[in-house]
Amino acid sequence: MAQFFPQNAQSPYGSSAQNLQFYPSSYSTGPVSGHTTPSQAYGAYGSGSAASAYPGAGFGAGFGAPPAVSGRMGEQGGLRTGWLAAFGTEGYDGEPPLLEELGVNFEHIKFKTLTVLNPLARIDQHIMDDSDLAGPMLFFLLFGTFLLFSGKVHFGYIYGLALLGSVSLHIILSLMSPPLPSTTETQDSHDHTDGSGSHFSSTLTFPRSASVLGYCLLPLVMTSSIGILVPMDGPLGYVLTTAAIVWCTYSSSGMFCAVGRMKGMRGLVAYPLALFYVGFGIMGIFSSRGAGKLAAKAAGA
Amino acid sequence: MTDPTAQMGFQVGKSAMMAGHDYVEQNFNRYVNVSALKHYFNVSNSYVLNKLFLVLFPWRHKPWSRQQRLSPNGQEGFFLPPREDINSPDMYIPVMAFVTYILLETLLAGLRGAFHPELLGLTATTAFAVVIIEILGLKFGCYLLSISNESQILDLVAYSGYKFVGIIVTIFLSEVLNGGRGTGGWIGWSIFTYTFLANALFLLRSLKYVLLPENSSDNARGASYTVARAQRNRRTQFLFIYSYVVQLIFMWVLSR
Repeated sequence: MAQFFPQNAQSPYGSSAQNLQFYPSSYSTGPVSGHTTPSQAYGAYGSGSAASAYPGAGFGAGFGAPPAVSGRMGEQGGLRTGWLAAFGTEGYDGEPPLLEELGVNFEHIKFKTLTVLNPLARIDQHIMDDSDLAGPMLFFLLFGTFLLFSGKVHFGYIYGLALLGSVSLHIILSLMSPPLPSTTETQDSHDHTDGSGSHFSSTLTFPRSASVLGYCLLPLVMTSSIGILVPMDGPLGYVLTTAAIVWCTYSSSGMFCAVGRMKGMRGLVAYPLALFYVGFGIMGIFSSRGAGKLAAKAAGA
Repeated sequence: MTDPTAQMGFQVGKSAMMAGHDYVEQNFNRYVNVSALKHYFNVSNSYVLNKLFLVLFPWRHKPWSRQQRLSPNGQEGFFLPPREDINSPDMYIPVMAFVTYILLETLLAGLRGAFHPELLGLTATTAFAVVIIEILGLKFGCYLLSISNESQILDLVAYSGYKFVGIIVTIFLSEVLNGGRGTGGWIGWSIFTYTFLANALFLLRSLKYVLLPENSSDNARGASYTVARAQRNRRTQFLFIYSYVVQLIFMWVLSR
């Protein structure tokens, strides 16, 4: 939600004119196509500076296109011209890099992945404060791709189970987490970062829940990658998938207890998470090569 | 970033977002009483284990009354949350038992070879319908007996969900011991009878304090005492019927 609102708040504020401006003026004989004359159609606010002020809005790449609306009048403020610059990746001055604007932070993703993979790690309660969804989406797509390589196309089921499961798990886990302390007037900024508050008065917001669930899917992703080569329908597959589910549940229950500040509830948290990951495990077992052995056995027995 | 107009735009956007957030929050809290719900989910590992044991073996448990915490001005305060009081009803066990029942029923049907994808929805709908009918019946009964209390209906919903624990045990054990023939046969029915009786006793003991108010904290003596007596009798009958007959019907429906 925090990613969306700056966009919506920004667009009625004056960038509707800019949005209308964006597409036509890119191709008009305006100052865009390389002319560096700072014509002052809209000299009021700096679109370039506004773009860098909203990381993650995603407008940044094309937003400074009409330099007519740049507030920085002193410099030429436009793109560099010439063939080399046309095929280069330079943008306007002071533009943040694309990954930073999109909110994709590879350091954090790596750190959280390593936390999941290490079952003995102590989990810091602020690990999920940035609640990014880029890592989890990557893992879900990887899971679907590995299943695709083993012959079954289950992307729809993955999306459906992930959405349904994360919504219901978020509801029940945020109901289980202790309520936030009620806000008083003497609220300093530290508490603002701590309890951004969902509808259920908890530190678990929906992006955070979805983020934890996605990161902890990693052991199942690895198991499904093994399922490309080895049929998972036999005892080896059952053992591996069960071990992966236990690992997923262990790490996600630890993370939820840390992020949601829950004490003495780890087993209770683990139970619905186990049900959720068993769903994915079933998808992995019955998708790999050699699927159908179980059905044949049941029919024959 | 040093542009003051951009700063102002930033502020406007932020306050718009906060206003929208507060609006949604207010309207949401009007329909769902979040803090009351949170009280029911405030459970701990040991509570859940002990409570599950209690639902299945309620015979020897001694004090069944819920403990209260006195508020600072001496009046009767709030009930203790489930974390601190074994007798307090919670919603975690009923919700989890409900979901587990649906999944287990579907799994057993799959193992029996009678699985089709609609079965999941069918089982869920049946169980949900049973819960809804029971809650409606309870509400109607409370209205007739003039037991009116806001949070009590949530208590009764919680108590009505405990029978799923017994049903899960019944169908699981009868599947394991019966070898695929379900709850037909001697073993299945004896387990069913046992869990039914355990659940009925559990409900009788627990609901005594919910449906029958204490005499001392009630109305004055004298003429109104007989009214209270008649009402007490009616309520006791209602409790008895509810714990035995109603539960029997519903448990049988769900464990077929």
